[in-house]
Amino acid sequence: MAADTSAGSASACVADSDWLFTPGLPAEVPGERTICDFEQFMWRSLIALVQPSAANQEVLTFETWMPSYGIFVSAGAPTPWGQHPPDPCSGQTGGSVATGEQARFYSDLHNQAGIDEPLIDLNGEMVYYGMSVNQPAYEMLTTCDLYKSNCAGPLKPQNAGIDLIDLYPGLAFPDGAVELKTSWMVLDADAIAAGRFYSVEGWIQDQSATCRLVTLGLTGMHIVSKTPTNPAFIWATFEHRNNSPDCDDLGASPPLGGEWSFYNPDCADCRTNQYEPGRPGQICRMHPQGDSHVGTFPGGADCTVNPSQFACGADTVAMLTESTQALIEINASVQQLIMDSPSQIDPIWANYELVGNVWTEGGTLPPYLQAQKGSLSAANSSMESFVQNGVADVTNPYGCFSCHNMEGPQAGRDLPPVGLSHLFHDVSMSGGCDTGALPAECAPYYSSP
Amino acid sequence: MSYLDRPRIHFTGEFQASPSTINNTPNNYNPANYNPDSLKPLDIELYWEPKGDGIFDLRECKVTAIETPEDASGAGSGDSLMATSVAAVYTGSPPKLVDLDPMQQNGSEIWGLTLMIGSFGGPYVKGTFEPIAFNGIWGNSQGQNTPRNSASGSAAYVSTLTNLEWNVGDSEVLAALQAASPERLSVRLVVFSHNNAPDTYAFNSDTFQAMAASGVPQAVLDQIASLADYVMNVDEEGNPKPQGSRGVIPTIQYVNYLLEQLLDVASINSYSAAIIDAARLPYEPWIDYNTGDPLPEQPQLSFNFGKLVGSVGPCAADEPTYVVPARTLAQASTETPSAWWASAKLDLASSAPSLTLDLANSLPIRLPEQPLWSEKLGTLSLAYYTGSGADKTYTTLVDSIDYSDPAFMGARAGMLTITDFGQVNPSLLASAPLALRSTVGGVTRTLLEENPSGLSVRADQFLYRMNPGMATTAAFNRGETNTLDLYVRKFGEVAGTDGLELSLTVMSPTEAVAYTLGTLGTSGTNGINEQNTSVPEGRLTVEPATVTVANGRATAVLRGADPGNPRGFVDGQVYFLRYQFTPAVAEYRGDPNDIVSVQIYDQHPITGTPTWENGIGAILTQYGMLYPIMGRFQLWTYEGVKQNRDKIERVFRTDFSQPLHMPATRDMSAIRRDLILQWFDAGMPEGASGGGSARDDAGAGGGRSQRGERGR
Repeated sequence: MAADTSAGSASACVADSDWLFTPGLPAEVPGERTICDFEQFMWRSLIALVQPSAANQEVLTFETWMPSYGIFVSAGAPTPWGQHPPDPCSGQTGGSVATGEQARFYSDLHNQAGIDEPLIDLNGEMVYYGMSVNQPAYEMLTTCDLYKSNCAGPLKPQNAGIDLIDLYPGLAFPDGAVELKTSWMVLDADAIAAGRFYSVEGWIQDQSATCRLVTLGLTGMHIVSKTPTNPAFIWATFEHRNNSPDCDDLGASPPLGGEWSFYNPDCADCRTNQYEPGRPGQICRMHPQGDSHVGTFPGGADCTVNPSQFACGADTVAMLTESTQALIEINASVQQLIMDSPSQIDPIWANYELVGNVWTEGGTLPPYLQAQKGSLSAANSSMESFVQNGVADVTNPYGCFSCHNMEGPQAGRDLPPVGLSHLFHDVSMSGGCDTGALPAECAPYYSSP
Repeated sequence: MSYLDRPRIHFTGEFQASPSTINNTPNNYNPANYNPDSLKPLDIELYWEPKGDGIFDLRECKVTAIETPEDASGAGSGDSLMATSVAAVYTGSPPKLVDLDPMQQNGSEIWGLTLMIGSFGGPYVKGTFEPIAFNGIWGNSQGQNTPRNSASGSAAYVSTLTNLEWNVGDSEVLAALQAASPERLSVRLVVFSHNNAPDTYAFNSDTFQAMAASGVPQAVLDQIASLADYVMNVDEEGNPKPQGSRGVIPTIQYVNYLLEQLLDVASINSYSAAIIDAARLPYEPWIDYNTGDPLPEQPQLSFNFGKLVGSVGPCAADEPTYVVPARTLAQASTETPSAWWASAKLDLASSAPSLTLDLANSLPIRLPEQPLWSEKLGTLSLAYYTGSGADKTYTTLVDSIDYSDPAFMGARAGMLTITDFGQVNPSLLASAPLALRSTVGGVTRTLLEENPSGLSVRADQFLYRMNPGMATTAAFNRGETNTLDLYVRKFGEVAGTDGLELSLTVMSPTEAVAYTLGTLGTSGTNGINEQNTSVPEGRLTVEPATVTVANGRATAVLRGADPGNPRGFVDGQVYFLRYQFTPAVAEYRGDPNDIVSVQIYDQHPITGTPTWENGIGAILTQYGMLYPIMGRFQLWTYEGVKQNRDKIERVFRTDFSQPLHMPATRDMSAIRRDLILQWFDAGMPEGASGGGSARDDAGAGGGRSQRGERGR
């Protein structure tokens, strides 16, 4: 049953209350695969992920997935599926530790992808990141021994190993594989009391390798899903609505009340979206809804200055406008649905919004910019804070596929589709694939046409 | 087989080229011309795109004509490929446009281009464009007030598409092309009417007053007062060109870049909009050179965009990577309107004989973006001739080429295909030189023609980079040796060329300066002279100096020896190699662009162990000077490079062939790049340790440790 809770027309991109009653991740983008269909697919995915786990009602589904550090171990074997992997803070009971129980989150990741610099919140705490995969992705990574450097080969930059490009050009994650990346900020007592975040107890290791058990608030989540018709994955990102204002509306108030998490309106000498060592980030959204044709352009050269640039072409603008409208509509609709259904879903999830979602037309691989659909400048202000216009701050559009793109060691030598993932940057175990080939059990993952 | 053969696809549209321009003169390489603490320029020429990103891209290109073996009309007979897009497809980074050197800007290469003909979800073919520089550059826009810059130029890229991916679908032309040459395709792109006139911003007493009237405080104006010192171009005496243009700065991106250096964040947030509004000049770049007034016609294309036509045809596996050996019609007259060298192919093997003439880069226009100059060209006819010298008899093949039809360039990409030879037996043309003639007011003159012998020669590749001391391998073609292949044809055929000889001569410094300053690409560049160009002599050698043609090809070996650092702040040296028939062929006129240019890098840019203070800092600082687009990475400070190490190292390790390779300009030697990577691997030592110091006269050493010299 449709729950058209938005004020839009009949064609508005809206939520369906069935999503609250249908467990499990959607396997495929429904319908004609319009832009709205993709936005609905991803909101439905998030709703499924934040439901209590069937095996353990104390944790949410996404929290049961395997963290990357449980797979990419430096020695031994990956943690079996369903178990919580050991981490450097396991078993610590001293210091600020309040209980001896297993914390639900661990991270020592504080550098952002692409720029290798941390985001510091207004309290001076770094933002922490987690990466995890679902069982189909886990099975593929472990079955193919891709946590071993010789097997991973060119999937890890500057790594040697077997020549996956020539030997296994079709090596890919299976349909149904999903990767998650989450961002978390350390909540102080006031933030905890305000209750605006989905929060967990979690261990973090800061730059000095000190373990701290803290309360973490979820600030962002990437959901990256492979479906039968989307071999390049669908790349969606959700943010807490109080993360950051739009760059062209810096005077806006946080929609949930309180303060922006990553923007200080009283800082006169803060440069937006530029990392400054030791200083809190001053983050704003350069292209709201990932819409490349609006917002902050590199050097100020927007569509009035250079109407011929890719982001300003008529076809591109039409597609981006549709995408932006769909995102605005679906967010409003889902948030209303959540608020109206407190018995089915924690209302806290109404504090989050889908801020970007991008895929390729017809499942095109590699994911050329010219084949991309959705939010071409998709970025999460808590995860890609400083690279919204590229690492050098001179590129628009710049989005998920700008880095996750199968680019191989030389022009004309693309990585196999598995190379869309950057999990392999964490490969630390030497050896593997001593015969010069992937394990025979891996065949289902590379023999598909 | 080549793009001169059918099946053939034509496409037209626009292209983007936005190279950085601070590297346009050797004078700008001197670190003394920049503030060492901020790299703010102090005394340089900005040219027209100081914050250029180096992008080459296609825009709004569509398949506009399709020729099959059976149908040369271009109509395509309803082929599903017709009207589909032709695009540069990329993921992380667009293709790049790259000049070799400030002393050779007459051959801009395209790197990292994957060309896709067709659309996602429909039929298409996609392939890697083998990187090549344009050739055949000339001033195709010849009206009285045509812009005196590259907007009035035209040039051609001829190369191959490799790593082909086919999705033929129901496209007959793609099926035919795939059957003819499944592994490679021949491609020719012609680019012209590139609008390189930026929006400009004036910083002078009038505009400063306007800023003050808009509420910009005097203290802020004092901070930006130095903007009044900037110049885009200077004459040989160092005076702003044009007169009175000091304080004129191009592009909003560069103005914003400078404001960010001069003002604090609060001032930028409060006043940059008012500053820019007051400084912005009207956009009327094309002027009447007699009056200085704006022309009634102004650019319609956006800044950094130009027109493009392209053609794609088959390419056999054993054919050259780049050059299309063909019949060549040479310029017969320099009188305005003049025409430029054109290629042709006579096909007698097919059941229906045909003659194809590529005029895409050969006919003049009055003003950029305008149609072919029919007012001055009059009736164009194609003929063959007998005789030689002043005693030639012309017989007309086509009495009126319909070049004024917008479809001639706008759809068929300037390609003329003749299948109706009238009373002429086409077999006769296999040994008869062709001529393109213009008739205006009853007076006929020859614009282009083959020489009586029908001979032509062209190098396969005309730009080389050589790193002395490094071996050339299959995977690394920039070592100290390389192979030069020259292709010779007689009326487009190999037959009759065996035993012909070519002489290969390295230009003297005097010849080199005259050549390069006479080109459209490099002319007007300050700082080029006989003391710093192609010296020391003898560093580029070619063996043998005379080569003999066999089976249509002659081959020589180029060898680059260490030139040292004769240019001070510009790495290595550039040499030019001329090739010509010996003995000379009667009436042979070679395209003046048919030159081989060789960049040989300094073999020892750093003496001793590389450290930040010993060489590395100077190399990276110069990189930051010349390419302010890299400003975010603070390349002029040790702390900045250390902070940004991962990002810098990542792109330095990116392969030369990739769009993201840095420097995008590909003007850093492999020698220097390896030293930087070694320095990273060594933990980025800062001090001048290791028992060596940078050579005093070295480009790297010359700028060494300016911060250190100040006792920091």
